[in-house]
Amino acid sequence: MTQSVREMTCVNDCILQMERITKRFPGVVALSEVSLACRKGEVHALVGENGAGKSTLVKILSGAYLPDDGQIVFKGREVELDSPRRAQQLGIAIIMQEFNLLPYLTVQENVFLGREPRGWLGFIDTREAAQRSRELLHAMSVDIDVFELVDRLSVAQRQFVEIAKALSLGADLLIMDEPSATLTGHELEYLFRVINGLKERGVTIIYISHRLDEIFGIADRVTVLKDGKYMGTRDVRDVTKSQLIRMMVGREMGEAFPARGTPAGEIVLKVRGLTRKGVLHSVSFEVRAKEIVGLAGLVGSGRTELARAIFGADPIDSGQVELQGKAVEIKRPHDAVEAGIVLVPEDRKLEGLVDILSVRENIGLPNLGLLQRWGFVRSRQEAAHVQEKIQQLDIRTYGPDQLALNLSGGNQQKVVLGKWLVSAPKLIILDEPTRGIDVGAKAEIYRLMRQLAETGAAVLMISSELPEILGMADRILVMHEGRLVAEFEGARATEEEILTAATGSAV
Amino acid sequence: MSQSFEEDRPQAAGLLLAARLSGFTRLEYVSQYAVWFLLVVVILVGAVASPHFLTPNNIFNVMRQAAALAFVSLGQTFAIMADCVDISVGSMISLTQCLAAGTMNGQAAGILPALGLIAGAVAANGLANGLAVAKRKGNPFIVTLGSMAVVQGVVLLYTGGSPLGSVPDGVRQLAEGYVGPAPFPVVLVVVLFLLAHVALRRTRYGRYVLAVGGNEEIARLSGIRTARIKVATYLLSSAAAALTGIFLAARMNIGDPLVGVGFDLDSIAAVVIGGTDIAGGRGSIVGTMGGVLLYAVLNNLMNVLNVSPFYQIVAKGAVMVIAISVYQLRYSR
Repeated sequence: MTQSVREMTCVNDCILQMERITKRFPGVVALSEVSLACRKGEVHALVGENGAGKSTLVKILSGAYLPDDGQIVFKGREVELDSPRRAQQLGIAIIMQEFNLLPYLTVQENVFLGREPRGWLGFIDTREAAQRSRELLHAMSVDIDVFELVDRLSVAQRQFVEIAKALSLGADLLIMDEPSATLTGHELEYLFRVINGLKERGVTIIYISHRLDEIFGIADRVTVLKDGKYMGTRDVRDVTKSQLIRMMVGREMGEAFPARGTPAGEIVLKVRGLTRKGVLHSVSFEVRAKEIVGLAGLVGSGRTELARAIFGADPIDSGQVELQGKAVEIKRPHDAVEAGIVLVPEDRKLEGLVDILSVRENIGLPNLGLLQRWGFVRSRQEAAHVQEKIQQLDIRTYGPDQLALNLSGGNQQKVVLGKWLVSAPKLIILDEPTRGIDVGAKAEIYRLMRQLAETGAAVLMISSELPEILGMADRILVMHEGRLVAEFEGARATEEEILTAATGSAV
Repeated sequence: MSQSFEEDRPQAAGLLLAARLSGFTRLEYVSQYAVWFLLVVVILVGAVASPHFLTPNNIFNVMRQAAALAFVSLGQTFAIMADCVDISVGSMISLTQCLAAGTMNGQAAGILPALGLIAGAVAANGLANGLAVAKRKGNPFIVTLGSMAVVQGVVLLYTGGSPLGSVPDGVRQLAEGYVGPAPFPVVLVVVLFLLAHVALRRTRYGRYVLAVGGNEEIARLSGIRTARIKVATYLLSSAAAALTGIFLAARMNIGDPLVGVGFDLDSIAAVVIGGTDIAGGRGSIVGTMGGVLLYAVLNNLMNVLNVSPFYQIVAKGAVMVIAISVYQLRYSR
């Protein structure tokens, strides 16, 4: 399986050749004789499940890790990338998923961080830095005030600042790790236009993404990694999505989405006139038992805010929430949980898991009320419940005492689900449930979601991935700038209809 | 900054641009309104409560008293911004004051040896703190708590436990002298604060202090030598404490092994009240000036009103809690 990269027909115009790269960490071989070859000026996608080794490979390229074996040839010369600075000097730049930007410094300060232009008497030449950052941003047709604090920028804008930073390094090779994870609609188009612009200028791009549809839209070639091994490189025109998936997971992924269920009649959640100044405007809707309602909309349309308002995490100015016909007053998450509402939040690391605690402790956390006697936790009961959840959800872990932070994204999400399921909730709100999770684990989460619905719960799913919403939801609600603007039947809706509504145009 | 604004008032726009370039408008990025507001309130209360409060004599007194806290707080500002809080400054003040008074003993010949010893102490404490925090990944609070104890022990050993020494007249001018109409220490404070403000915004060191305090990993990945920045910051903090020590030696004409007690907490309080985020990464030199003034004026007011020292401590604590609550509300938005 170790095909030499030189056989991949880019001997002359290869800007990068990684050969037989191996990297070991205590207890695991992250990469085993992996190869990668990129042609100058191409967009080369890198795909694979979580744990396949993509992050490790690009971290080696960026100088953060040293490989144990193998060699790297960049721009025709063998190189040793022993530090981030070295990689930068050679012309390799990386944009991570969690941006490397300092929120309390301005745009131009961030772009030149560590490489500030020096002026009179050794002071920083702010004018020069500002001028050059402005030029870089204008070249991408992006309009951002270079003296603005990064903290105040939107996620998409921060993305462009990161790109400007990479370009200011004179990068010839730009690695982008999940750049579109937090972008939607026209922001994504914009990113692609910028990427194409970079291509025209001869910049080579390595593009890591879970969104296979995107890859067919933007990439020239794609390399697949699986379990730390190199699976192959294909030209994007010569391969289909399911062939790629097969290379990634080693099995045919027929139906990615489970069959839809039949929602029962009774209304579990009824929301009327939910309003919060500046954020939500008189939102009203219903969710029935055994129903999965998808909530679509652009970033910033108020979906997460709606979820948090129902859950009591944020206050509301006016409006009513009824659960199974009875009005409930929810002022804080505690009230919501008591009433049978659970929220699986967008950012698991920040809001879903306590990552330094174990799986058992995490799952037990909101349920200690059930699991205690006279203030002491009943450990045997806790263990039994946790074990049941681990089995029910198929959480891959060495045992209930493994630390949550050592699990993969998909398994972490299952832990978050598990902790709430111990209490058999009536309403489950999921905010971006499969963000950052690989194809295999996604299918499992979808299956679990449908199972949950079948137990009689009402499920409200917020998602920015249209295929996901179209595949899973029985009914789709669309939000725009804090208002509910459209409703579609899940089986018959189209991406265009949803996007049109989400951007505020007439339905 | 709309096009039309720049067209209508090119001079104003130019001025604004210059201001932004020099970093002065960063004032808006850090919440300091609380400290200046409180300062005005306290001054008004003082003016009303006592006729002695706004006399030139008293004002100069306040400023001289403020100078001591000002020097050490300047160093503490950089320390806190770099996420390297320094609790050992109090003992360093005691040590340097005693080294100054004890070595000089009223003789001009003793000035150079005194400075040499002080420089040595600053280097030793700064390096010890810096290396422990940077290389050994020690928690700054714990590390400087330890060095505080060690330095305090050294100073007690050196002095045998009671005040000693004296300072030659030339040196006393440091505290008592004038530059024109203004007391010398005040001028020195203003100059140093201006330099510090410029250093923070316009030098790489200042920029890197903010970077390291903001997110050390990102700073490291941007090629910044984070260990060097931390060591330099601890050296700066110890040097600032030494300046306070020397100033106090000049002012009090004695070396008191316990003179520095309380400066550690007061300097942190002044910095935090001034709007600098205790978590690091953002801050304001000008804000620290406000915090120092607030404390000095508050102290002075309570002395003029003959308030018991115990109530004074409570009052200072209350002010700190109020100011910090206001900032935390804004910062956690």
